[in-house]
Amino acid sequence: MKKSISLVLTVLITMMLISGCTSNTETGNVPESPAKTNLVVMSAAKAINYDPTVGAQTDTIALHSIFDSLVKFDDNADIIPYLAESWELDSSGLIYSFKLRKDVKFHDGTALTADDVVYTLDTMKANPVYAMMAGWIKSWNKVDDYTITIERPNGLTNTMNYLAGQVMIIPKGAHSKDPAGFAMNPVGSGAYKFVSIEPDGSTKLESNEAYFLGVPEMKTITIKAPLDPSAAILSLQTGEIDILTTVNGTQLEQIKNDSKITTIAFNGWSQNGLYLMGERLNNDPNLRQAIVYGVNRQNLIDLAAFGLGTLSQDLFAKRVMGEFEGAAPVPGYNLDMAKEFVAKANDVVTPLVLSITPDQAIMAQSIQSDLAALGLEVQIEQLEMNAFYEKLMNKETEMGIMMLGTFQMTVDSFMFYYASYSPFIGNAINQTPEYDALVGQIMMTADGTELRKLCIQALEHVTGMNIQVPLFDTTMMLAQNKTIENISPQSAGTYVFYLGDIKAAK
Amino acid sequence: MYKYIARRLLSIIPILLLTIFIVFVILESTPGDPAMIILGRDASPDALNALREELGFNKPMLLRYLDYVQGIFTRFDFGESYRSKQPVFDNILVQFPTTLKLAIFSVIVASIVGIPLGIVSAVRQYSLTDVALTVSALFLASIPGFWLSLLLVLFFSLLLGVLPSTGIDSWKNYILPVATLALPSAAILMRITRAQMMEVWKQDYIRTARAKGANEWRVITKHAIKNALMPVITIVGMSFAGLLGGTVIVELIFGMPGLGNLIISAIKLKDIPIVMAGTIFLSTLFMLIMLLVDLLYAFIDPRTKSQFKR
Repeated sequence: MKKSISLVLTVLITMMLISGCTSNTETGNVPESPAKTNLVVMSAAKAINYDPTVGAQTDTIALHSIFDSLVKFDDNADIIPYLAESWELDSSGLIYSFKLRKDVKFHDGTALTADDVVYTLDTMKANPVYAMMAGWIKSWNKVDDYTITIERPNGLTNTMNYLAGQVMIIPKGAHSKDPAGFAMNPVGSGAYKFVSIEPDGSTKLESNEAYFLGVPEMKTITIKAPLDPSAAILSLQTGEIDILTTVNGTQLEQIKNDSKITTIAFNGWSQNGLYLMGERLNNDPNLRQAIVYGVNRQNLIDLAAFGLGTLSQDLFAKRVMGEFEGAAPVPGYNLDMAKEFVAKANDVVTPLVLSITPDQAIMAQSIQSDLAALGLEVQIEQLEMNAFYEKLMNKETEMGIMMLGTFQMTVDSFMFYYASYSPFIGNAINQTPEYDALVGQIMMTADGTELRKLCIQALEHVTGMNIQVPLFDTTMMLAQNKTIENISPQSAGTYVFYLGDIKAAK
Repeated sequence: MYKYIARRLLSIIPILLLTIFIVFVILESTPGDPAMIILGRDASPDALNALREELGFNKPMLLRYLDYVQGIFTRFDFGESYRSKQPVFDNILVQFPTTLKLAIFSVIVASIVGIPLGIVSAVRQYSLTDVALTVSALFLASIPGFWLSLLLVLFFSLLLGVLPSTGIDSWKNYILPVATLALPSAAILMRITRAQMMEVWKQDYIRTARAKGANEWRVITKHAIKNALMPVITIVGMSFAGLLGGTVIVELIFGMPGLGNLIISAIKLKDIPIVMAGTIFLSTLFMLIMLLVDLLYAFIDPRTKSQFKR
């Protein structure tokens, strides 16, 4: 028996050694691996619907691959032509006139015209999900088959970013015939055509051979539904996925020494802020001021964000602040000043409650430790996302951490959140009638110059209230296998991916 | 027997009604306005109110509960998903086969591994094999599922590169998830089989069988296993029913579109119709499986069969 086992083992080991020593080819040349033509991307959301005018919480990577927008983001997230080859802004600074390309065809062969753009905007407007679209696009008109005008509500509104990120043009003919059918069998003009939704929830796309910007190099795309973060990063390491669209600090630690993976970082439009609300804080300006001085933000960036993040001294992220950067800065960390204001503050007998969502635990602990140094006890309350926002809207939050800001937001649109009639932050703070009136003026003013003056007043007012500690501007990251290249860095910050641009690594 | 089955089937109805009520109340008391979740935090108050009206959220809770129950029992209507706008039962039927496959494969593997090892462990009581098996079982039963699954992915997918870590494209995709689910179940089955076998091993009829000259193999297979396996069958049935609702972590980690995955996503987005229908579906299945396990007893144990006749 033992002899037989030994014999079998000897034969197996010999065969393994022989196969290990044999060259891959008879000539001894190592064959070149074929160029990569199939891309696998892990999205941040599961695809449930492919109609971009429905506004469902669905995967937008598939949408931006199947559909195109009038304009697109370049590598730095500045706006460049796309379906619109050019545009002009009229003398009022409010009305854009877009000239459409004449060589664009949808996947069903029909040509793109201004009617399709009008139909897309009309369909979005009719959907309650896009009730806030009026904040970016006031009106639109077809001038001729290849010209359309779009009016923005005021001279500061970032209508172009909204058009690039949110408005994907659908063909009037295919969509109007059967909107429900369109949602599961979409027809766009994008670099990729829809093939199928797979049993595992992933989306299969194939290259559009008639694409107006040239045939994409990747022939097929698989967009996978999101996985648990630990499993997602392992899938990237095993090569089962090529692009992981969002990477956090913990995941980054895991792949930083992996020679097959590279990361792309981009300073986004969002900022993590500590918001001070609730009766005790509302009634005690010294306590609020102490907290503003007392949070060591750089320490928090190093601890909670693994050093990824830009120290922020404005109320909103640098990209949102734009020309208003530095107009009304919030004071930075100053322990002595913080102690001075704590001494003036009312007695805080019970702990201050800091409400957070699960991903903010380390940030909260960092703040807790900073405030403990001032003698302020902080109790951290971790809530599920919906519970967090419900508590906030019910005015039950005392302190909360929120990440606010998206690529279409501008300073004027943010100021509304601090008005007393806003259900978001303003209703939970002691806002003054003067500020509410100021926001009313901002919302009614279209003239850019006048609007700028009003916005600076509003910024100074909110900063002076000491209700917000800007923690840091978020650095968004994606990770990719080195088998591909040409991913635009802005994809990390906007989640708008142009997969048609991706090429196999040389 | 048929009376017993009919009585058990009828008893499912009040339990189900109570289950629906409990889940309904829990979902009602969880924070988050479904209208706001669907339309977003920036939606206008008018749009939010219109949607609440459309979804029936302006009605009293009890009325909505009765409407819901009536819809299920009269039209088999579980409602539409708030997100996808598809009938929720269609969603469940699409996702359920993955969970069912995982549960079936896992319970088979767990039984094939756990029961024989439990027998070996009992037969070789206090030997090195017994100690090794008992310690291994304790270890496997204590490992958290998410950790075991990540370890398996690290070893078999990343290090060796022999098995895929995500998807459901081929049978290979099921190996690691099934191993993750089956190993702890096998460990539990092994320990229970061992305990039962040791109990049976001391019985007079085992000594009699040996005295009559039966060899060890015959004593184990003919006399001991049949009596020791009674409680094990219950555990296998409960494991199977538990797995149907407990594969969620594995589904999330291995990217498998199962029922657990569907319900968890729905809970996050407060897609109440999916959570309700998923819970009702799973609790009904659980009760039916338990009934089947009880019936299976009758075929193995004549004493149980006689109780059915009463």
